Amino acid sequence: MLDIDKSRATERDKREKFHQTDVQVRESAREGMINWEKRMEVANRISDVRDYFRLLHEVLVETDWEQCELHAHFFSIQGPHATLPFLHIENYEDRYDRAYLEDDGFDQIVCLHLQALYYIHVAENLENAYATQTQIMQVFNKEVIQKKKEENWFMPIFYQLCTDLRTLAKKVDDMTVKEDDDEGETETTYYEQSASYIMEAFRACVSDVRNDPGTSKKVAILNMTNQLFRIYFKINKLNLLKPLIRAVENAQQSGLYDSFSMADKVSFNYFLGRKAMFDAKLALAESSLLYAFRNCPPEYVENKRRILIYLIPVKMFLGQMPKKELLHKYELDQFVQIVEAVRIGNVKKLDEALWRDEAFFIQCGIYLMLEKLRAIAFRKLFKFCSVLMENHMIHLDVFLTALRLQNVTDIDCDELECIIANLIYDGRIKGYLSHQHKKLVLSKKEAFPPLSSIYM
Amino acid sequence: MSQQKKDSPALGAAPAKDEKTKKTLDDEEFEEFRVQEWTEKKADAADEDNANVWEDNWEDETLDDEFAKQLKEELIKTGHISQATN
Repeated sequence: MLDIDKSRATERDKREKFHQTDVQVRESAREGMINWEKRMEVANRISDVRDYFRLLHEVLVETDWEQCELHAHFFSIQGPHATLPFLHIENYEDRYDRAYLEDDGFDQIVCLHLQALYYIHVAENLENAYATQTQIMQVFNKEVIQKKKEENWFMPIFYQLCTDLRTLAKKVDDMTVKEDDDEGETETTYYEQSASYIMEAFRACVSDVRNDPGTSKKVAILNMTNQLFRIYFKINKLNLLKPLIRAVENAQQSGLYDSFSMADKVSFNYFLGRKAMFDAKLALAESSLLYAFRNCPPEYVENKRRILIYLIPVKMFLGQMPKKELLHKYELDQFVQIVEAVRIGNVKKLDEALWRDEAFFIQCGIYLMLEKLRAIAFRKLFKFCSVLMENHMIHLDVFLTALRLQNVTDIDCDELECIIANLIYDGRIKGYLSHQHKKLVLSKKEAFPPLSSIYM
Repeated sequence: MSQQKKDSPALGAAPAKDEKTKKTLDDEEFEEFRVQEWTEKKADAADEDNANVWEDNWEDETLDDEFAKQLKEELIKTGHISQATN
C-alpha cells in the first residue's frame, strides 16, 4: 500500500515539476530568453519512456502554438532528450504494454521518432534513420496537417522535423560521397530528395483556404520556404523557388505576413536577397539584405557576417562603400583592399585583391560579382581624368596614360573603347565615343550619374 | 589488394582535407535562430551598425596627390594638357 502511495506521490511530484519548469520556460520565452539549459532541465526529469510520453501528452493537450514552439525540440533527433539511452527503442510501436499518446497520428510519429533515435545511437545506421524520418514526414502530412483542418498549433513541431530531415540527409550524403567518389554527380542526393517531402507539406499548407492566422496552415509557408531555400541553394536549383516566393508575396498582400515569425522573416530576406543578387535585381537585393542585417539580433554575429558578405558587393554596385570599422568588426578584412581599389579607381589593385582572396570569394559565390566592380573602378578613374582635363571631350590617350601609370599594361586602345562603350551602354557614363577622333565626348549634364540612380 | 593497401595512406590524407573544406562550407550555412520573436526595427532605426557604415561620397573624392601630379606631368609631356593651363 505504502509503496503504491509513494509511487503515486512521486508521480504527482514529477507532474508538478514538469509544470513548474513549463511555467519558467514560458515566462523566459516571453522575454526572448529560451535557452538550452532550461530544456535540459526538463529533459533531466525524464527517467523512462513513460515520462517522455507523459511530457509530450501534456504539451499536445494544450493545443497551443506557443507551448508547441517551446517543446518542439522534444520531437527532434537533436532534442535534449535524444541522448537518453532508454529512448533508443526499436519497434516500440509493436511492444506489448507500451505508453500511448491519445492522438493516433502523434502516437505513430513518436514511435517512429524512437526508432530513428535507435538507428542513430544504437544501430548507427544513418540511412535507416533517414528513411524513418521520411516516414515521420509522411505521417505528419497525412495524419496531422491534412486531418486537423481548423488548427495550426502543431506546425512548430513540423519545422523541427523538416530540419531533422535535412540534417540526416546531409549526413548520409557526406558518407556516401566519400565512399564512391568517382560515381559522378548525376545521382540525386538524399539532400535533394528530402526537398520533396517538405514540398508535399508546403502544397498542403498553401492550399489551406482559411486566412485567419489562428487556424490557417498558411502561416507555416514562410518557414518551409526557408527550409527549401537552404536545399535549393545547396543543389543550385534556385529556379524551383519561384512558386514559393510567389506564395509568400501573396501572403504579404493578404495580411498574413504579420503572423510570420521574425526568425523566419530575417532568414527569408537573407535568402531572397542572395537570390536577387544572382538574378541581378540589385534594388531588391539591397532592400532584402538590409532588412535582414538590420533585424538580425546582434548576438548572431556569424549570421550578420553572412548577410554582409552579400550586402557589401550589392552596396558597392549602388555606389556605397562599407567603412573599415564595419569590415573589421565582422572579420571581413578580405574586402578592405577591394573597397580601397575601387575607391581609387585602380583596376590593377582590384585584380590583385581578388586574386589574393580568390578562394574565399569563390566559396561565398561572389567572385564574379566582385569582378564586375572593375566597371565601377574604371568609371572612377575616367571621372577623375575628366575633372583633371576640365573638358568634356577627352582623348583616349589620356585614359591610356592614366592606366599605364597604374601599371595596367594589358589594355590597348581597342579594349579601352570596348570598356567605355559598355559603361555608356550600362548608363554609367553619359556621352558617346568618337572612334574616328579617338575621343570620348561626355554629356555636359551629369556625365557620371550617381550609381544609386542606375538600376540594372 | 596490395595496390589498394598502397593507396590507403593517400586516401586517408585526402578525406581529412575534404572534411576541412566541407566543414567550412557547412559553416557557411545561415544559422537557425533559437528564438522566434523579437521587435522589428524600422528602416531609420538608430543603431551603430545601420547608420553611418556606408559612404556614398567617395566618387567625388580626388585621387591621391602623387598620382594626380604624375598624371598631369605625363599629360603635359604628351601635349594633352597645355602648359598654360597649368
